[in-house]
Amino acid sequence: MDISSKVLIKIQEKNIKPIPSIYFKLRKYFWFSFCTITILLAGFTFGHFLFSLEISDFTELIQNFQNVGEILDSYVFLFFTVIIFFGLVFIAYKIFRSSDYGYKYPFLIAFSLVFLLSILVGYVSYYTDLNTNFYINALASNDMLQEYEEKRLFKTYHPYRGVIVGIVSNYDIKSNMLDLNIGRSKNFKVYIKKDTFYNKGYIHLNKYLKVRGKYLGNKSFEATNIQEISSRKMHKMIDFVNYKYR
Amino acid sequence: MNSKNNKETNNLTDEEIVKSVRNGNLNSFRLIIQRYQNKLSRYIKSLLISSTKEEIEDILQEVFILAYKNINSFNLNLKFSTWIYRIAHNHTINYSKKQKNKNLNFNIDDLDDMENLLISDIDIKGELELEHAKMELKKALANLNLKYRSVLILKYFEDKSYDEISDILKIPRNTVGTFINRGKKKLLEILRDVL
Repeated sequence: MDISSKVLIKIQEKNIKPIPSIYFKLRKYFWFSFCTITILLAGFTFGHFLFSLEISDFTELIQNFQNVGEILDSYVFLFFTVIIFFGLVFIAYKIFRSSDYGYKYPFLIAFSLVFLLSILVGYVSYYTDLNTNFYINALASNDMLQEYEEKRLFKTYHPYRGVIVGIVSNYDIKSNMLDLNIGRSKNFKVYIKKDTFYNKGYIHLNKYLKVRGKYLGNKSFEATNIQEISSRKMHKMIDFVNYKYR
Repeated sequence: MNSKNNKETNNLTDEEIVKSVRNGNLNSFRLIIQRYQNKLSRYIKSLLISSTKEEIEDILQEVFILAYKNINSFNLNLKFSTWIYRIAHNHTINYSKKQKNKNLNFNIDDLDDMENLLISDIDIKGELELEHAKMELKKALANLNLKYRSVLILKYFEDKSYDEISDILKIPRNTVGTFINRGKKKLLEILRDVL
């Protein structure tokens, strides 16, 4: 008996039927959707990573080299985004490679998407003035930041604008980093040294901050003699005086 | 009348037969099996580093049953031979992985056609006596890494194009070329060591 007869007999005996085409269609759609979502997510992660790098103050990391372990904690999230990005790209690559779609064109599309998303994240954050908040909120969502009691009101001097009143929306106990919201502008980061919280600190300006129509660039201002002005219920006002360029 | 029918069915393309099988005509599948049984059997034999005829026949039957079960997944715009070769390749590789612990021997007697092609291609005639070279080439092929061997077999034995090999093995076209060149180099290295 030749092989063809044997195979046909087996098919008939075991009542083997072709798998319906709808199964393959659904499987195809599922994997394609999965890969697309994976790539979009990877693009977003990568965009976020690039942006996080952009707004991160690595000078702080270098200056406080003695406390490098403590400061590195705040950068762990960055490393996670890198790992997530490469992980997702690898998954998408493996899926596309084993599929019938090939992987050259999907990958071309994927990297184009990553590129476009990176630009989009940068563009949106640049023009919506949400640079600091974007980063802070992302950290907060990962439980790396804890909101410090309720919102705190700060008053401070600024070399270009004089007295500034702002609200600290987030305070990271570990890195002593505050997110200071001033009016519609949310481009201040305030670092205050742990042991001298009420006496010494400095304000870090995000480079996208516009004052009187000019971008200030990345600058830090030292603030000394920080005093508590008032203490009514949850709100406190602190005066930053005797500032100078760092 | 019968011979006329046979002629007509023989003129059918693979894709037309697949359509017929999809419409529930199981007998059409016999044509597919008859067309590919020798080619696939030879491919499995050369790939598997396998063994008994019974084993190869079992694998071949499973390959055809798998092809029948998945016939609806075949894209009619693509080449059927590539699709069925891929099923055979994957199934054979899976089988060989399962049988890893078994002491398998390479069946070197079925590679006569390929060795002539390969020998002419790697141009070792000048260095070796042809007959001696053939024998050593068989041994060298048996010792070659599976990824290089499968590419060389598809290229020189099954006469597949780079694109077809790329589709069967799911590797980029350029990688096919690289594997062929590396495979040939490695073959030469093994042969030079032996002789």
